[in-house]
Amino acid sequence: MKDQQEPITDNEWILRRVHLSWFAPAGPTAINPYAFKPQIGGDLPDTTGISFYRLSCIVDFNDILAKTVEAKRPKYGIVRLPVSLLASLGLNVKRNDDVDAPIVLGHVIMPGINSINYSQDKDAVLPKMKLLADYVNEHQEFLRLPSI
Amino acid sequence: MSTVLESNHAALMGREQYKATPKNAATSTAYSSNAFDRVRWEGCFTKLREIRSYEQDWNDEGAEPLSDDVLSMTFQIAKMLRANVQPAPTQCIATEEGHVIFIWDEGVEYSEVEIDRHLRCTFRKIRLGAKRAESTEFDPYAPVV
Repeated sequence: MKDQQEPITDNEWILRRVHLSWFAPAGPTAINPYAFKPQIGGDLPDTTGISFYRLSCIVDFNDILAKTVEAKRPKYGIVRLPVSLLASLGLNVKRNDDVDAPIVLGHVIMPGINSINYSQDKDAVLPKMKLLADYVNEHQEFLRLPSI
Repeated sequence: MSTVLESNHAALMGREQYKATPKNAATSTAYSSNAFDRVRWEGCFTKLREIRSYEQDWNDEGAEPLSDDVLSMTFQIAKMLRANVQPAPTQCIATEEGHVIFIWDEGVEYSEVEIDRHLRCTFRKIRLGAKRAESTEFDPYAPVV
C-alpha cells in the first residue's frame, strides 16, 4: 500500500463513487457520462475538479464510501480507471490529501473536469466525461454495483 | 408547420422530418410501429414519472425536486418526439441543478437534449473523436421559417 503523499504513478488505478441514477436502467451494466459530472451546487461544489481515490492508498475499495451515510451506501457503485488512460484524454489527477482528518486516504481531483468549466463550457467538458464512461463500460471496470 | 425541435431532432437522428406539433402531440396515435422503440418509449415515460416524483435529496447529495415547469416541458417534448416516430432515448436523467436530459447513446455518435431550469432547450451532439460537443439552443415551439 502506498502512502497518500507519494507521487501518483501511471501504473495506479483511481476509483470513483457512482450513484445509481447514472447507471443504465436496463441491458448490460453501463454508466452514462454524467457519472463524471462535477457537483455544481450544494455545500461542496467541485470547483477544483471531480473526486477520485487512489486504489493503491486504501485497503478495500469499499473504503471510499466511508464518508457516505451508511444507509445510502447501497445506492452507490464504484468504478475504476487506469491513471495511464488520462494523458491520452488530456486529463490528469492531482493529490488532494485530506491531511487533518483523513477519513479516506488517497483523495485526488481531476482538474480538467470541474464545476466552473462544466457550467461555462459544457461542450468542451462533456466529451471528456463521455470518454471516461466509455472506458468503464467497454472494459467493465465496475468494482461494485448499486444494490438497490 | 414544423418546429425547430422537429427539424433539429430529425436531422440529429438522421430521420425524415416529422409532423406532430405541441398541440396534437399529446393525442397523436402515430407512434412508432417498431415494438422495440415502443417498449423503450414506455421505459422513458416510466422514468420521467419517476423523476416527477423525486423528493428533496433524491440524488442523496441534497438535490431539490424538479420544477413543475421543467417537468411539463420535458413531458411535452417527449410526447412530441414519440408522436413523430422518433427513436426513444436510451436514457432519461435528472441533474442536481434541476435539469432533465434525454440521452441517445448507441453506436458511434452521442446526442442529448437538455431542458434546463430556465426552460432553455439544448441539442448537443458528440461526433466520434470530437473534442467538443456541437450544441444548439432552441425554442421547441418556434416554427421553422
